[in-house]
Amino acid sequence: MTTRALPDDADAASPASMGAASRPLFDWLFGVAVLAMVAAFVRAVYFTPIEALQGAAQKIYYVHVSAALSAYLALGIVALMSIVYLWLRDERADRLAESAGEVALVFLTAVLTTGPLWGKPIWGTWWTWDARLTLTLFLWFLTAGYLVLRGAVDDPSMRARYSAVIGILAALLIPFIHLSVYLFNTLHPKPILLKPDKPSMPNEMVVTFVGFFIACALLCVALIRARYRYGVARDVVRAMDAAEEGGE
Amino acid sequence: MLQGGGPPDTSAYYRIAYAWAAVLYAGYSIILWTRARRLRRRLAARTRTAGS
Amino acid sequence: MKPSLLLSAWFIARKDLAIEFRTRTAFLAVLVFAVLGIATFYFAWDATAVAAIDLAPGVLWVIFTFSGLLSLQRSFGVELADRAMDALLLAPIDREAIFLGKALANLLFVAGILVVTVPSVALLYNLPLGRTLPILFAIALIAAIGLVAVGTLFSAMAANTRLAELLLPMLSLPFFVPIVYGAAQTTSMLLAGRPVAEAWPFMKILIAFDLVFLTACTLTFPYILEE
Repeated sequence: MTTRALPDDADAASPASMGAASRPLFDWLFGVAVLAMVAAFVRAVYFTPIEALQGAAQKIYYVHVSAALSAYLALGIVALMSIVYLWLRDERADRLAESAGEVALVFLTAVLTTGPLWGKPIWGTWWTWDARLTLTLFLWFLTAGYLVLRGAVDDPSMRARYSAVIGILAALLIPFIHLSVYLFNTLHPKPILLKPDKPSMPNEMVVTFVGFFIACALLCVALIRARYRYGVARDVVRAMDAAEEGGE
Repeated sequence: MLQGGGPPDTSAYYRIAYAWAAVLYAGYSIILWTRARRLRRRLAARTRTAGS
Repeated sequence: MKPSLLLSAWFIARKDLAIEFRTRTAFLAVLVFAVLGIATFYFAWDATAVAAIDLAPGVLWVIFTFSGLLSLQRSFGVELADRAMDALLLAPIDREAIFLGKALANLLFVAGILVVTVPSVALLYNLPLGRTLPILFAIALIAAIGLVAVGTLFSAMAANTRLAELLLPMLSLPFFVPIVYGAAQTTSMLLAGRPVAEAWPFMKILIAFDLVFLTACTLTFPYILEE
Protein backbone atom coordinates (compact mmCIF):
# COMPACT_ATOMS: atom_id res chain seq x y z
CA MET A 1 0.00 0.00 0.00
CA THR A 2 1.38 3.38 -0.87
CA THR A 3 -1.12 5.45 1.11
CA ARG A 4 -0.04 6.63 4.50
CA ALA A 5 -1.85 5.88 7.75
CA LEU A 6 -5.11 7.63 8.39
CA PRO A 7 -4.57 11.12 9.77
CA ASP A 8 -5.86 12.05 13.19
CA ASP A 9 -9.29 13.52 13.87
CA ALA A 10 -7.94 17.03 13.34
CA ASP A 11 -7.44 16.72 9.61
CA ALA A 12 -10.01 14.04 8.95
CA ALA A 13 -11.55 16.13 6.21
CA SER A 14 -8.23 16.92 4.56
CA PRO A 15 -8.06 16.35 0.80
CA ALA A 16 -5.61 13.46 1.25
CA SER A 17 -7.91 11.43 3.45
CA MET A 18 -10.92 12.31 1.32
CA GLY A 19 -9.01 11.02 -1.67
CA ALA A 20 -8.10 7.81 0.16
CA ALA A 21 -11.71 7.40 1.23
CA SER A 22 -13.14 7.74 -2.23
CA ARG A 23 -10.97 5.26 -4.09
CA PRO A 24 -13.18 2.78 -5.93
CA LEU A 25 -13.83 -0.53 -4.17
CA PHE A 26 -14.13 -2.50 -7.35
CA ASP A 27 -11.23 -1.66 -9.61
CA TRP A 28 -9.24 -3.51 -12.27
CA LEU A 29 -8.09 -6.22 -9.84
CA PHE A 30 -11.66 -7.06 -8.96
CA GLY A 31 -12.55 -7.11 -12.65
CA VAL A 32 -9.72 -9.52 -13.39
CA ALA A 33 -10.75 -11.72 -10.47
CA VAL A 34 -14.38 -11.85 -11.64
CA LEU A 35 -13.33 -12.73 -15.20
CA ALA A 36 -10.96 -15.42 -13.92
CA MET A 37 -13.69 -16.80 -11.69
CA VAL A 38 -16.19 -16.94 -14.56
CA ALA A 39 -13.61 -18.67 -16.75
CA ALA A 40 -12.82 -21.16 -13.96
CA PHE A 41 -16.51 -21.94 -13.48
CA VAL A 42 -17.04 -22.43 -17.22
CA ARG A 43 -14.00 -24.66 -17.55
CA ALA A 44 -14.92 -26.75 -14.52
CA VAL A 45 -18.53 -27.19 -15.58
CA TYR A 46 -18.26 -27.62 -19.37
CA PHE A 47 -14.67 -28.49 -20.28
CA THR A 48 -13.50 -30.90 -17.61
CA PRO A 49 -14.07 -34.65 -17.88
CA ILE A 50 -16.25 -36.40 -15.35
CA GLU A 51 -14.35 -38.61 -12.95
CA ALA A 52 -15.11 -42.33 -13.37
CA LEU A 53 -15.60 -43.37 -9.76
CA GLN A 54 -17.30 -40.41 -8.14
CA GLY A 55 -19.22 -39.12 -11.12
CA ALA A 56 -20.16 -35.48 -11.53
CA ALA A 57 -20.00 -34.76 -7.79
CA GLN A 58 -16.21 -34.92 -7.99
CA LYS A 59 -16.34 -31.51 -9.66
CA ILE A 60 -17.29 -30.01 -6.30
CA TYR A 61 -13.63 -30.61 -5.42
CA TYR A 62 -12.55 -27.60 -7.50
CA VAL A 63 -14.84 -25.08 -5.85
CA HIS A 64 -14.49 -26.61 -2.39
CA VAL A 65 -10.72 -26.94 -2.14
CA SER A 66 -9.97 -23.59 -3.76
CA ALA A 67 -12.37 -21.89 -1.32
CA ALA A 68 -10.65 -23.70 1.55
CA LEU A 69 -7.18 -22.59 0.44
CA SER A 70 -8.41 -19.01 -0.04
CA ALA A 71 -9.94 -19.06 3.45
CA TYR A 72 -6.63 -20.26 4.90
CA LEU A 73 -4.86 -17.48 3.01
CA ALA A 74 -7.22 -14.88 4.49
CA LEU A 75 -6.92 -16.37 7.99
CA GLY A 76 -3.14 -16.38 7.66
CA ILE A 77 -3.35 -12.65 6.95
CA VAL A 78 -5.53 -12.16 10.06
CA ALA A 79 -3.02 -14.00 12.28
CA LEU A 80 -0.03 -12.24 10.76
CA MET A 81 -1.62 -8.79 10.94
CA SER A 82 -2.62 -9.41 14.57
CA ILE A 83 1.03 -9.93 15.46
CA VAL A 84 2.09 -6.95 13.32
CA TYR A 85 -0.48 -4.73 15.02
CA LEU A 86 0.67 -5.53 18.55
CA TRP A 87 4.23 -4.98 17.40
CA LEU A 88 3.99 -1.79 15.31
CA ARG A 89 0.60 -0.38 16.42
CA ASP A 90 -0.17 0.53 12.84
CA GLU A 91 -3.89 0.90 12.29
CA ARG A 92 -3.49 -0.28 8.72
CA ALA A 93 -2.51 -3.71 10.06
CA ASP A 94 -5.68 -3.74 12.13
CA ARG A 95 -7.84 -2.73 9.21
CA LEU A 96 -6.26 -5.38 7.02
CA ALA A 97 -6.88 -8.01 9.70
CA GLU A 98 -10.52 -6.91 9.91
CA SER A 99 -10.94 -7.07 6.14
CA ALA A 100 -9.28 -10.47 5.82
CA GLY A 101 -11.39 -11.80 8.71
CA GLU A 102 -14.63 -10.82 7.03
CA VAL A 103 -13.60 -12.27 3.67
CA ALA A 104 -12.36 -15.44 5.39
CA LEU A 105 -15.84 -15.92 6.83
CA VAL A 106 -17.33 -15.82 3.32
CA PHE A 107 -14.89 -18.43 2.03
CA LEU A 108 -15.27 -20.61 5.12
CA THR A 109 -19.03 -20.52 4.59
CA ALA A 110 -18.45 -21.66 1.01
CA VAL A 111 -16.23 -24.51 2.23
CA LEU A 112 -18.68 -25.61 4.90
CA THR A 113 -21.64 -25.65 2.50
CA THR A 114 -20.02 -27.20 -0.57
CA GLY A 115 -18.38 -29.89 1.57
CA PRO A 116 -21.61 -31.60 2.64
CA LEU A 117 -22.90 -31.40 -0.95
CA TRP A 118 -19.94 -33.58 -1.89
CA GLY A 119 -20.13 -35.74 1.23
CA LYS A 120 -23.77 -36.71 0.76
CA PRO A 121 -23.38 -38.56 -2.57
CA ILE A 122 -19.83 -39.82 -1.92
CA TRP A 123 -19.74 -40.66 1.78
CA GLY A 124 -23.49 -41.07 2.13
CA THR A 125 -23.65 -38.47 4.91
CA TRP A 126 -23.90 -34.69 5.02
CA TRP A 127 -21.60 -34.30 7.94
CA THR A 128 -19.11 -36.33 9.94
CA TRP A 129 -16.91 -35.26 12.83
CA ASP A 130 -13.78 -35.82 10.87
CA ALA A 131 -10.62 -33.90 11.77
CA ARG A 132 -10.71 -31.43 8.92
CA LEU A 133 -14.44 -30.85 8.96
CA THR A 134 -14.34 -30.15 12.66
CA LEU A 135 -11.38 -27.83 12.26
CA THR A 136 -13.11 -25.85 9.52
CA LEU A 137 -16.29 -25.62 11.58
CA PHE A 138 -14.32 -24.22 14.50
CA LEU A 139 -12.42 -21.85 12.26
CA TRP A 140 -15.84 -20.56 11.26
CA PHE A 141 -16.88 -20.14 14.92
CA LEU A 142 -13.61 -18.41 15.78
CA THR A 143 -13.85 -16.06 12.82
CA ALA A 144 -17.47 -15.26 13.63
CA GLY A 145 -16.51 -14.62 17.26
CA TYR A 146 -13.65 -12.42 16.11
CA LEU A 147 -16.00 -10.29 14.00
CA VAL A 148 -18.64 -10.09 16.75
CA LEU A 149 -15.95 -8.93 19.18
CA ARG A 150 -14.89 -6.25 16.70
CA GLY A 151 -18.46 -5.05 16.53
CA ALA A 152 -18.83 -4.94 20.31
CA VAL A 153 -15.95 -2.56 21.12
CA ASP A 154 -16.32 1.14 20.36
CA ASP A 155 -12.87 2.48 21.09
CA PRO A 156 -10.72 1.94 17.97
CA SER A 157 -7.42 1.24 19.72
CA MET A 158 -9.06 -1.06 22.25
CA ARG A 159 -10.85 -2.88 19.45
CA ALA A 160 -7.59 -3.31 17.58
CA ARG A 161 -5.73 -4.64 20.62
CA TYR A 162 -8.51 -7.01 21.68
CA SER A 163 -8.98 -8.47 18.24
CA ALA A 164 -5.23 -8.83 17.74
CA VAL A 165 -5.01 -10.84 20.97
CA ILE A 166 -7.91 -13.04 19.85
CA GLY A 167 -6.32 -13.45 16.43
CA ILE A 168 -3.06 -14.69 17.98
CA LEU A 169 -4.74 -16.99 20.51
CA ALA A 170 -6.98 -18.49 17.82
CA ALA A 171 -3.91 -19.27 15.73
CA LEU A 172 -2.44 -21.07 18.75
CA LEU A 173 -5.67 -22.98 19.26
CA ILE A 174 -5.83 -24.50 15.78
CA PRO A 175 -3.19 -27.22 16.34
CA PHE A 176 -4.99 -28.28 19.52
CA ILE A 177 -8.35 -28.71 17.86
CA HIS A 178 -6.72 -30.54 14.99
CA LEU A 179 -4.74 -32.79 17.32
CA SER A 180 -7.72 -33.67 19.52
CA VAL A 181 -9.91 -34.69 16.65
CA TYR A 182 -7.06 -36.40 14.84
CA LEU A 183 -6.99 -39.00 17.58
CA PHE A 184 -10.19 -40.22 15.96
CA ASN A 185 -9.87 -41.87 12.59
CA THR A 186 -10.23 -39.45 9.76
CA LEU A 187 -12.53 -39.96 6.79
CA HIS A 188 -11.44 -36.94 4.85
CA PRO A 189 -9.49 -37.60 1.64
CA LYS A 190 -5.79 -36.88 2.02
CA PRO A 191 -4.38 -33.99 -0.03
CA ILE A 192 -4.38 -35.01 -3.65
CA LEU A 193 -2.40 -32.32 -5.38
CA LEU A 194 0.23 -31.40 -2.84
CA LYS A 195 1.45 -34.92 -2.24
CA PRO A 196 5.23 -35.33 -2.29
CA ASP A 197 5.12 -37.65 -5.31
CA LYS A 198 3.11 -37.02 -8.44
CA PRO A 199 -0.44 -35.73 -8.06
CA SER A 200 -2.90 -38.58 -8.49
CA MET A 201 -5.12 -36.71 -10.92
CA PRO A 202 -5.26 -36.58 -14.72
CA ASN A 203 -3.63 -33.51 -16.24
CA GLU A 204 -6.87 -31.96 -17.45
CA MET A 205 -8.28 -31.98 -13.96
CA VAL A 206 -5.06 -30.56 -12.51
CA VAL A 207 -5.28 -27.65 -14.95
CA THR A 208 -8.91 -27.02 -13.99
CA PHE A 209 -8.05 -27.15 -10.32
CA VAL A 210 -5.00 -24.89 -10.52
CA GLY A 211 -6.97 -22.42 -12.62
CA PHE A 212 -9.85 -22.50 -10.18
CA PHE A 213 -7.49 -21.99 -7.28
CA ILE A 214 -5.75 -19.02 -8.89
CA ALA A 215 -9.11 -17.42 -9.72
CA CYS A 216 -10.36 -17.99 -6.19
CA ALA A 217 -7.19 -16.60 -4.60
CA LEU A 218 -7.45 -13.54 -6.88
CA LEU A 219 -11.06 -13.04 -5.82
CA CYS A 220 -10.00 -13.40 -2.20
CA VAL A 221 -7.29 -10.75 -2.54
CA ALA A 222 -9.59 -8.44 -4.52
CA LEU A 223 -12.35 -8.75 -1.91
CA ILE A 224 -9.93 -8.10 0.95
CA ARG A 225 -8.68 -5.03 -0.90
CA ALA A 226 -12.19 -3.77 -1.54
CA ARG A 227 -13.13 -4.38 2.08
CA TYR A 228 -9.96 -2.55 3.15
CA ARG A 229 -10.89 0.47 1.08
CA TYR A 230 -14.36 0.41 2.57
CA GLY A 231 -12.68 0.37 5.99
CA VAL A 232 -10.61 3.42 5.11
CA ALA A 233 -13.70 5.36 4.04
CA ARG A 234 -15.64 4.25 7.11
CA ASP A 235 -12.86 5.36 9.43
CA VAL A 236 -12.76 8.79 7.76
CA VAL A 237 -16.49 9.20 8.35
CA ARG A 238 -16.14 8.01 11.95
CA ALA A 239 -13.27 10.40 12.56
CA MET A 240 -15.40 13.25 11.19
CA ASP A 241 -18.29 12.23 13.45
CA ALA A 242 -15.96 12.13 16.43
CA ALA A 243 -14.41 15.49 15.56
CA GLU A 244 -17.84 17.05 15.25
CA GLU A 245 -19.03 15.68 18.58
CA GLY A 246 -15.83 16.76 20.26
CA GLY A 247 -15.87 20.20 18.62
CA GLU A 248 -19.40 21.11 19.52
CA MET B 1 -20.75 -45.16 -20.21
CA LEU B 2 -18.89 -48.19 -21.52
CA GLN B 3 -19.93 -50.53 -18.79
CA GLY B 4 -23.54 -50.72 -17.70
CA GLY B 5 -24.40 -48.84 -14.54
CA GLY B 6 -21.34 -46.74 -13.94
CA PRO B 7 -21.35 -44.08 -11.24
CA PRO B 8 -24.72 -42.90 -9.98
CA ASP B 9 -25.85 -39.56 -11.31
CA THR B 10 -24.60 -36.97 -8.86
CA SER B 11 -24.78 -33.93 -11.10
CA ALA B 12 -27.57 -32.32 -9.05
CA TYR B 13 -25.23 -31.99 -6.07
CA TYR B 14 -22.50 -30.35 -8.04
CA ARG B 15 -24.87 -27.97 -9.82
CA ILE B 16 -26.23 -26.83 -6.45
CA ALA B 17 -22.68 -26.46 -5.11
CA TYR B 18 -21.54 -24.31 -8.02
CA ALA B 19 -24.70 -22.19 -8.06
CA TRP B 20 -24.48 -21.66 -4.31
CA ALA B 21 -20.80 -20.70 -4.43
CA ALA B 22 -21.56 -18.17 -7.17
CA VAL B 23 -24.46 -16.72 -5.15
CA LEU B 24 -22.27 -16.49 -2.06
CA TYR B 25 -19.38 -14.69 -3.72
CA ALA B 26 -21.63 -12.39 -5.73
CA GLY B 27 -23.78 -11.76 -2.67
CA TYR B 28 -20.86 -10.66 -0.54
CA SER B 29 -19.59 -8.38 -3.31
CA ILE B 30 -23.01 -6.78 -3.63
CA ILE B 31 -23.34 -6.30 0.13
CA LEU B 32 -19.91 -4.68 0.17
CA TRP B 33 -20.91 -2.44 -2.69
CA THR B 34 -24.14 -1.31 -0.96
CA ARG B 35 -22.29 -0.61 2.27
CA ALA B 36 -19.73 1.48 0.39
CA ARG B 37 -22.43 3.36 -1.49
CA ARG B 38 -24.27 4.23 1.72
CA LEU B 39 -21.00 5.43 3.20
CA ARG B 40 -20.16 7.50 0.15
CA ARG B 41 -23.55 9.20 0.34
CA ARG B 42 -22.93 10.13 3.95
CA LEU B 43 -19.49 11.41 3.03
CA ALA B 44 -20.90 13.48 0.16
CA ALA B 45 -23.64 14.95 2.38
CA ARG B 46 -21.01 15.84 4.93
CA THR B 47 -18.70 17.64 2.52
CA ARG B 48 -21.65 19.59 1.13
CA THR B 49 -22.62 20.88 4.60
CA ALA B 50 -18.99 21.53 5.44
CA GLY B 51 -18.49 23.54 2.24
CA SER B 52 -21.55 25.76 2.66
CA MET C 1 11.60 -2.84 44.91
CA LYS C 2 8.31 -4.24 43.77
CA PRO C 3 7.11 -7.46 45.37
CA SER C 4 7.91 -10.52 43.29
CA LEU C 5 5.54 -11.58 40.53
CA LEU C 6 4.16 -14.57 42.37
CA LEU C 7 3.81 -12.75 45.67
CA SER C 8 1.87 -9.89 44.11
CA ALA C 9 -0.23 -12.43 42.20
CA TRP C 10 -1.06 -14.01 45.52
CA PHE C 11 -2.15 -10.61 46.93
CA ILE C 12 -4.57 -10.19 44.06
CA ALA C 13 -5.91 -13.70 44.45
CA ARG C 14 -6.31 -13.24 48.19
CA LYS C 15 -8.25 -10.01 47.62
CA ASP C 16 -10.65 -11.74 45.21
CA LEU C 17 -11.10 -14.73 47.46
CA ALA C 18 -11.69 -12.47 50.47
CA ILE C 19 -14.46 -10.66 48.58
CA GLU C 20 -15.93 -13.99 47.58
CA PHE C 21 -15.63 -15.44 51.06
CA ARG C 22 -17.35 -12.45 52.64
CA THR C 23 -20.26 -12.37 50.23
CA ARG C 24 -20.42 -16.05 49.28
CA THR C 25 -23.42 -15.42 47.03
CA ALA C 26 -21.72 -16.11 43.70
CA PHE C 27 -20.15 -19.37 44.76
CA LEU C 28 -23.39 -20.73 46.14
CA ALA C 29 -25.32 -19.57 43.09
CA VAL C 30 -22.88 -21.26 40.71
CA LEU C 31 -23.00 -24.45 42.77
CA VAL C 32 -26.78 -24.51 42.64
CA PHE C 33 -26.61 -23.89 38.89
CA ALA C 34 -24.17 -26.79 38.44
CA VAL C 35 -26.22 -29.31 40.44
CA LEU C 36 -29.39 -28.06 38.76
CA GLY C 37 -27.78 -28.59 35.37
CA ILE C 38 -26.73 -32.11 36.26
CA ALA C 39 -30.27 -32.88 37.44
CA THR C 40 -31.80 -31.35 34.30
CA PHE C 41 -29.65 -33.54 32.10
CA TYR C 42 -31.15 -36.55 33.86
CA PHE C 43 -34.56 -35.76 32.43
CA ALA C 44 -33.22 -35.52 28.89
CA TRP C 45 -31.75 -39.01 29.23
CA ASP C 46 -33.14 -42.34 28.12
CA ALA C 47 -31.50 -44.74 30.57
CA THR C 48 -32.47 -47.78 28.47
CA ALA C 49 -30.73 -46.43 25.37
CA VAL C 50 -27.54 -44.93 26.82
CA ALA C 51 -25.69 -46.32 29.81
CA ALA C 52 -25.03 -43.87 32.64
CA ILE C 53 -21.32 -44.54 32.33
CA ASP C 54 -21.39 -43.29 28.71
CA LEU C 55 -23.43 -40.19 29.46
CA ALA C 56 -21.90 -39.04 32.75
CA PRO C 57 -18.50 -37.77 31.51
CA GLY C 58 -20.23 -35.54 28.97
CA VAL C 59 -22.67 -34.21 31.56
CA LEU C 60 -19.87 -33.57 34.03
CA TRP C 61 -17.69 -31.63 31.61
CA VAL C 62 -20.39 -29.68 29.86
CA ILE C 63 -21.90 -28.56 33.15
CA PHE C 64 -18.47 -27.82 34.55
CA THR C 65 -17.60 -25.68 31.52
CA PHE C 66 -20.80 -23.69 31.76
CA SER C 67 -20.58 -23.11 35.50
CA GLY C 68 -16.94 -22.16 34.95
CA LEU C 69 -18.09 -19.55 32.43
CA LEU C 70 -20.57 -18.15 34.95
CA SER C 71 -17.89 -17.70 37.56
CA LEU C 72 -15.37 -16.27 35.08
CA GLN C 73 -17.89 -13.63 34.07
CA ARG C 74 -17.64 -12.20 37.57
CA SER C 75 -13.88 -12.17 37.70
CA PHE C 76 -13.54 -8.80 35.99
CA GLY C 77 -17.18 -7.87 36.29
CA VAL C 78 -16.58 -7.03 39.97
CA GLU C 79 -13.78 -4.63 39.04
CA LEU C 80 -16.13 -2.52 36.92
CA ALA C 81 -18.15 -1.26 39.90
CA ASP C 82 -16.76 2.04 41.27
CA ARG C 83 -14.00 1.73 38.65
CA ALA C 84 -12.09 -0.60 40.96
CA MET C 85 -10.03 -1.62 37.97
CA ASP C 86 -8.30 1.77 37.94
CA ALA C 87 -7.15 1.28 41.53
CA LEU C 88 -5.85 -2.15 40.61
CA LEU C 89 -3.89 -0.65 37.73
CA LEU C 90 -2.37 1.98 40.02
CA ALA C 91 -0.97 -0.70 42.32
CA PRO C 92 2.83 -1.00 41.99
CA ILE C 93 2.70 -4.51 40.51
CA ASP C 94 3.14 -6.00 37.07
CA ARG C 95 0.16 -6.48 34.80
CA GLU C 96 1.15 -10.13 34.54
CA ALA C 97 0.74 -10.41 38.31
CA ILE C 98 -2.83 -9.11 38.03
CA PHE C 99 -3.55 -11.80 35.46
CA LEU C 100 -1.94 -14.60 37.45
CA GLY C 101 -3.68 -13.49 40.64
CA LYS C 102 -7.07 -13.32 38.96
CA ALA C 103 -6.44 -16.70 37.34
CA LEU C 104 -5.41 -18.24 40.65
CA ALA C 105 -8.55 -16.96 42.37
CA ASN C 106 -10.63 -18.33 39.48
CA LEU C 107 -8.83 -21.66 39.66
CA LEU C 108 -9.63 -22.03 43.35
CA PHE C 109 -13.22 -20.99 42.69
CA VAL C 110 -13.55 -23.52 39.88
CA ALA C 111 -11.84 -26.24 41.94
CA GLY C 112 -14.47 -25.60 44.59
CA ILE C 113 -17.16 -26.22 41.97
CA LEU C 114 -15.43 -29.46 40.94
CA VAL C 115 -15.33 -30.72 44.52
CA VAL C 116 -19.11 -30.57 44.49
CA THR C 117 -19.96 -31.49 40.88
CA VAL C 118 -17.83 -34.64 40.58
CA PRO C 119 -19.47 -36.36 43.57
CA SER C 120 -22.89 -35.04 42.48
CA VAL C 121 -22.56 -36.64 39.07
CA ALA C 122 -21.32 -39.86 40.66
CA LEU C 123 -24.21 -39.84 43.09
CA LEU C 124 -27.01 -38.90 40.71
CA TYR C 125 -25.86 -41.20 37.90
CA ASN C 126 -24.83 -44.08 40.14
CA LEU C 127 -21.22 -44.20 39.05
CA PRO C 128 -18.67 -46.54 40.63
CA LEU C 129 -16.05 -43.89 41.39
CA GLY C 130 -14.13 -45.37 44.31
CA ARG C 131 -10.46 -45.70 43.51
CA THR C 132 -10.50 -43.56 40.37
CA LEU C 133 -11.52 -40.48 42.36
CA PRO C 134 -7.98 -39.12 43.04
CA ILE C 135 -6.93 -39.54 39.40
CA LEU C 136 -10.19 -37.97 38.26
CA PHE C 137 -9.53 -34.93 40.44
CA ALA C 138 -5.97 -34.68 39.11
CA ILE C 139 -7.25 -34.64 35.52
CA ALA C 140 -9.95 -32.17 36.46
CA LEU C 141 -7.31 -29.87 37.90
CA ILE C 142 -5.17 -30.08 34.75
CA ALA C 143 -8.25 -29.30 32.64
CA ALA C 144 -9.27 -26.46 34.96
CA ILE C 145 -5.90 -24.71 34.61
CA GLY C 146 -6.28 -24.34 30.84
CA LEU C 147 -9.93 -23.34 31.17
CA VAL C 148 -9.14 -20.67 33.73
CA ALA C 149 -6.14 -19.29 31.81
CA VAL C 150 -8.16 -18.63 28.67
CA GLY C 151 -11.32 -17.72 30.57
CA THR C 152 -9.64 -15.11 32.77
CA LEU C 153 -8.16 -13.32 29.77
CA PHE C 154 -11.47 -13.34 27.90
CA SER C 155 -13.33 -12.21 31.00
CA ALA C 156 -11.09 -9.15 31.16
CA MET C 157 -11.82 -8.50 27.52
CA ALA C 158 -15.55 -9.17 27.58
CA ALA C 159 -16.10 -6.98 30.67
CA ASN C 160 -15.16 -3.92 28.58
CA THR C 161 -17.45 -4.65 25.65
CA ARG C 162 -21.08 -4.35 24.89
CA LEU C 163 -22.61 -7.85 24.77
CA ALA C 164 -20.31 -8.95 27.63
CA GLU C 165 -22.52 -11.83 28.78
CA LEU C 166 -22.82 -13.13 25.24
CA LEU C 167 -19.28 -12.52 24.13
CA LEU C 168 -17.51 -14.45 26.89
CA PRO C 169 -19.08 -17.82 25.99
CA MET C 170 -18.89 -17.09 22.29
CA LEU C 171 -15.16 -16.45 22.46
CA SER C 172 -14.29 -19.04 25.09
CA LEU C 173 -16.22 -22.12 24.01
CA PRO C 174 -14.12 -22.86 20.90
CA PHE C 175 -11.09 -22.69 23.16
CA PHE C 176 -12.69 -25.05 25.67
CA VAL C 177 -13.25 -27.74 23.04
CA PRO C 178 -9.83 -29.42 23.34
CA ILE C 179 -10.22 -29.28 27.14
CA VAL C 180 -13.71 -30.76 27.24
CA TYR C 181 -12.70 -33.35 24.69
CA GLY C 182 -9.54 -34.48 26.48
CA ALA C 183 -11.12 -34.42 29.92
CA ALA C 184 -14.28 -36.25 28.87
CA GLN C 185 -12.36 -38.95 26.97
CA THR C 186 -10.01 -39.51 29.90
CA THR C 187 -12.92 -39.61 32.34
CA SER C 188 -14.85 -42.18 30.37
CA MET C 189 -11.74 -44.35 30.01
CA LEU C 190 -11.18 -44.23 33.73
CA LEU C 191 -14.82 -44.99 34.48
CA ALA C 192 -14.69 -47.96 32.11
CA GLY C 193 -11.85 -49.34 34.23
CA ARG C 194 -9.21 -48.97 31.52
CA PRO C 195 -5.60 -48.37 32.58
CA VAL C 196 -4.48 -44.76 33.02
CA ALA C 197 -1.73 -45.24 30.41
CA GLU C 198 -4.37 -45.51 27.68
CA ALA C 199 -5.59 -42.01 28.45
CA TRP C 200 -2.06 -40.61 28.23
CA PRO C 201 -2.37 -39.13 24.68
CA PHE C 202 -5.38 -37.09 25.80
CA MET C 203 -3.64 -35.98 28.96
CA LYS C 204 -0.64 -34.88 26.94
CA ILE C 205 -2.91 -32.58 24.92
CA LEU C 206 -4.37 -31.16 28.13
CA ILE C 207 -0.93 -30.50 29.62
CA ALA C 208 0.35 -28.92 26.40
CA PHE C 209 -2.78 -26.76 26.29
CA ASP C 210 -2.12 -25.56 29.86
CA LEU C 211 1.49 -24.70 29.13
CA VAL C 212 0.81 -22.92 25.83
CA PHE C 213 -2.20 -20.92 26.93
CA LEU C 214 -1.01 -20.06 30.41
CA THR C 215 2.09 -18.55 28.80
CA ALA C 216 0.29 -16.90 25.88
CA CYS C 217 -2.48 -15.43 28.04
CA THR C 218 -0.04 -14.10 30.63
CA LEU C 219 1.99 -12.44 27.89
CA THR C 220 -0.97 -10.93 26.01
CA PHE C 221 -2.87 -9.79 29.12
CA PRO C 222 -0.97 -6.46 29.41
CA TYR C 223 -2.30 -5.52 25.96
CA ILE C 224 -5.85 -5.86 27.26
CA LEU C 225 -5.36 -3.43 30.12
CA GLU C 226 -3.45 -0.74 28.30
CA GLU C 227 -5.02 2.70 28.27
